[in-house]
Amino acid sequence: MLEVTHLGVAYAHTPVFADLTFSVAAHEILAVIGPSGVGKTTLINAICGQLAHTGTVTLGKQPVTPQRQRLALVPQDYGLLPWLRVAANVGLPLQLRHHPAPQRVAAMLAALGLTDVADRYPAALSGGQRQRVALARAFVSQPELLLLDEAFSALDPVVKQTAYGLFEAQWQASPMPTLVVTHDWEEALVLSDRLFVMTNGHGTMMANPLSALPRAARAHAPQYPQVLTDLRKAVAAQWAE
Amino acid sequence: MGRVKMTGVALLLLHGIWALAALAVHKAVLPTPWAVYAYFPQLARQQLQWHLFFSLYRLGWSMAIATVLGVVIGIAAVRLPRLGKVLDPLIYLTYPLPKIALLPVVMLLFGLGDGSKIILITLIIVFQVIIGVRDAVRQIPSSLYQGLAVMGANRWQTLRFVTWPASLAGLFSALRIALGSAIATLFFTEVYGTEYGIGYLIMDEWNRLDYLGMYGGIVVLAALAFVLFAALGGLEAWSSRWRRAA
Ligand SMILES: Nc1ncnc2c1ncn2[C@@H]1O[C@H](COP(=O)(O)OP(=O)(O)OP(=O)(O)O)[C@@H](O)[C@H]1O
Ligand SMILES: [Mg+2]
Repeated sequence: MLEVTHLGVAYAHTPVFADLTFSVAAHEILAVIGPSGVGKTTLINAICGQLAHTGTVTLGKQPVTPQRQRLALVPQDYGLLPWLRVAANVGLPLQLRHHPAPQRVAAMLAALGLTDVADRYPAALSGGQRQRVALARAFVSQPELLLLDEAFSALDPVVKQTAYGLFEAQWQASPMPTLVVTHDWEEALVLSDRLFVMTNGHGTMMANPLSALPRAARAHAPQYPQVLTDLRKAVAAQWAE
Repeated sequence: MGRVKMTGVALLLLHGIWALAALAVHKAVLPTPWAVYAYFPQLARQQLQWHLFFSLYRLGWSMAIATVLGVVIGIAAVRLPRLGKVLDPLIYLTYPLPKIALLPVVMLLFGLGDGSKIILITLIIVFQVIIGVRDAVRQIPSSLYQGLAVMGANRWQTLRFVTWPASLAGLFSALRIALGSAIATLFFTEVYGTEYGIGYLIMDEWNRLDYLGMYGGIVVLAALAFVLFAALGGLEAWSSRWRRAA
């Protein structure tokens, strides 16, 4: 379980948020949603120990640091190393921990449909392929905490649906506490168990009304359009403030 | 193979212009290409291989020292921000100085031998290498460093997987540019305190009014430069092969 307690971050004395408290269960996906500039990326960076902050972040009662736990982050630009081929990029987290496992990498590439491009450099991939490489790299180390920062935002609608399916399959195979940052309500409803709605400096936890449904069925559920409209309406008032 | 063909065309064109000019001038100071090439066997007997060896020796050491200094200082200027704050103005203050004016000082301190020649060439090209490496490292998106940190990489791994590959691409393109200055300076330093080197050969033939030998030396110097440029171009393409989509 990930526990975030009284978390605060300030850039040059200007606080982005000062007191965020929430937790994510071991087998839970939390969608973090909020308008641009509200501090979603900042929140993720603070959680994985990349930003000075106040308050505490623990995973299984231990403070979160990359040295102690296996963390996986898919940043907004995917963060692939341009000089490493696809297979090497995916294998990097294992190599850094001195546990190279070529068979595991090959299996992950196959699962995400990347076998044919395993020897290419990222520059020679489509946007959708690059995103799948980032997902493969995140899952291959079997992380104890998974953080996705707008990892689906740049995809076109058709590719996005495929990517949701691939993500879901990998996550179900070995679930871990997961934060999915997005500004897309549909993505939040389809992927998450709960929603953490951020509004200038504060966060509100909300239930996902569709969480009882299997993820693949949510977008086709009869109540989906109504839920979407209600949520947008409820939050629009807050965000407009 | 298009590049090889174009190089051939360029060589032919160059020799054509040379031949026309030589025929038009029709004086000993500008012999025809065939006269110069016919003189080559004689040139080879004048220890051409040793002239080549010493020029390459001086060039090689200068490029090697500039590479080591350039990579270390270029990376440090970005990755150690406190040091960078001091280094950046220092680089920009010293880069535009005409280092050739330091020749008397270099001669006084290091003599007239190979050491002083190598130091002078290094002094002139090292800035281009430092700046090339520094700019390449500076362009690395911070998200790459962050990504590696989240995966638990230590400083050494960060250098190996992020900083080093990026600086390598910057290094070879900087070295290719620096090679031009290096050869020009090499020629200059071989005018004094030595009896070997292509630069010495050219000046010596000139002094003895042996124009065939002088042009032979120039052709050898041009060929040497061409080979080195091609080699560095190949290394540059190899070190940045990941940039090409395909
Ligand atoms: N390095 C930084 N220095 C100073 N201010 C920063 C820095 N990074 C972010 N900020 C500011 O902090 C606030 C939150 O930024 P953040 O990137 O976390 O927003 P976000 O919710 O991820 O936005 P987006 O949806 O556009 O990605 C913004 O006002 C931004 O200008
Ligand atoms: Mg962001």
